[in-house]
Amino acid sequence: MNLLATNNVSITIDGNRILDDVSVTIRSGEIIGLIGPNGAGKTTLLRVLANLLAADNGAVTLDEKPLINYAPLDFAKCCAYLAQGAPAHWPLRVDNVVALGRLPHLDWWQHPRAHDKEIIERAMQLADVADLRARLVTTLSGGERTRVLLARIFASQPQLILADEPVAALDPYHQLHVMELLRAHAHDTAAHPAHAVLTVLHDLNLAARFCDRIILLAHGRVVCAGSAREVLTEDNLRDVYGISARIVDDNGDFSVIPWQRTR
Amino acid sequence: MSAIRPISDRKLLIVLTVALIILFALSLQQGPVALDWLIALQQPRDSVHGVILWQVRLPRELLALCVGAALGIAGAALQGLLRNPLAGPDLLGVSSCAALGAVLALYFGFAAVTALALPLGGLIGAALAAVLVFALAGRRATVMTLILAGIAINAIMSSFIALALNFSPNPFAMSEMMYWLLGSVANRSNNDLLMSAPFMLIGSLLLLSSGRFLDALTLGEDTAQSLGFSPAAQRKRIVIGVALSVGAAVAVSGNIGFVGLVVPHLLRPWVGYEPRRLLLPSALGGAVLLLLADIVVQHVSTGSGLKLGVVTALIGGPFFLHLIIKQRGFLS
Repeated sequence: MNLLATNNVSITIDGNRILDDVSVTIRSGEIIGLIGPNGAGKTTLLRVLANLLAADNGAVTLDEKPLINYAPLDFAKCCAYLAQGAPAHWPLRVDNVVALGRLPHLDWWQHPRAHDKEIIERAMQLADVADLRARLVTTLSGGERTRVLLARIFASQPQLILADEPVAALDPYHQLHVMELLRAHAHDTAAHPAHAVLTVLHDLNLAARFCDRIILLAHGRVVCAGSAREVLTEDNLRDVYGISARIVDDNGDFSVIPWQRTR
Repeated sequence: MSAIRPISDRKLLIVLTVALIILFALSLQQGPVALDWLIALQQPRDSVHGVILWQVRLPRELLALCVGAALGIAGAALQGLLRNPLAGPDLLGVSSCAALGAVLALYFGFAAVTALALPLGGLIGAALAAVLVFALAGRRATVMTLILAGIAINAIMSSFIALALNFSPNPFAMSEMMYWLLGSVANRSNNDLLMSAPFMLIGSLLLLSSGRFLDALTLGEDTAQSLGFSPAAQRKRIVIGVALSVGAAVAVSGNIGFVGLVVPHLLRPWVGYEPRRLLLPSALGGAVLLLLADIVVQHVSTGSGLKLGVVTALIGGPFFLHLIIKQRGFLS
């Protein structure tokens, strides 16, 4: 089932066509990798999907209904957004940061109740940050902070997670950890309604290994969408990224080694 | 690293409220006439002691309390909105606009016609400032445009104030304007209090109601929006709240600096740096600090010589420097 989709979305900012007639769909149960060179419009597309930016043309639909039909709070309950760089501006305690995820579920006079605290606790366990609960978020390493903000997202209990380069600047161990968490969220068969994840990635191998589908964006257009084998071809990598790559396809293990610039 | 451990909201609010009550009672004892307010309370209101209590000391100290609370909560809210501990309530240009309004009331001699002209001029100035900030910053005001618009308004208003001082009709009017600008709650009437307190109250309530948004803003504007808030509407609410509370405070008391900057900064570690939890304690803390400063003012000078704004700056400046040095590197 189509969870979130854009139909022929275009955006022009200061005379530059950032997104040009983009149609993408996120179906329930899948994790999608959004890839493309710098300036391709990945973050803009993510912000349109997250309802942070209105498109000039075209429509965004959630459960086949236009986004305008949703109150901001209802959309916030369904759809969570992980900002690039996982910013945190005050030295809050980790458990208080995770508790911010409950904001859409609480009215302004309400404090987190036992039920919410349970959800916060489970979110911290899930993202493996329970041991960090008393630490200040500004004293954490990049990998720890990303996991804390993922726990914040899990505490919102969203159907859909939209993440902007969640593994940029993380070491391989934490990259794998974060990707595993995102994939586990998308593939959670016990979840009802079913979950989904769309994440912007620069690492082609992580995209190939963890994502059910890959969407390749260039110059504000969707070049290609499909499985890693369909998208990460030598032709596409040359045309879009301007590189030649060694593609290893070994009994289901698919990987890409960027080798040389071609332009 | 700060060694202060956060304490519960209830404990902090009780401590601050008790301090506020004690200082308020103490402040009513101050003044050139030796007078026990508990005894004066039992005397008729038109007796000499009754008049001093009801028409001199009560409005003065209630005003100190309200102005301190308004500045404290406005500082906390603006620091939360800008996610910067160096922001103060004067940042949006509201206070310099209100000050210009009052200075013009003095310049053109309205203040000599009716005592209400001063606060009225200030309030009109503050209202103008709010309109100006929004007109300059536009509908899609980002935080940065708000700051820059505030700096521009501050510069323009300061130049107009300088112009008024420059062309003041006589030295007496000039010293009157200068003294007013220094900031004080001395010789204020019940009318001053009644005119400004409702605005400060409404403004403070608006700021208090934006606490959850300030919490969400800790994770950035996009994340706050993704949590269901409308940043544009919330920003507007905070700007209006600051304009009402700070504008009304400056309109009756002049420029009283550092309260809105120091108080939230001082209390922040006690609430675990959470912007929402900081709001109410900052209001109480601002009131405590201003009452304390006003007691100092009345102790040091028996006349009306020393101005409250001078004392808060004298205490606030070095104290703020001390805080910055102590917490160096903690927030960077």
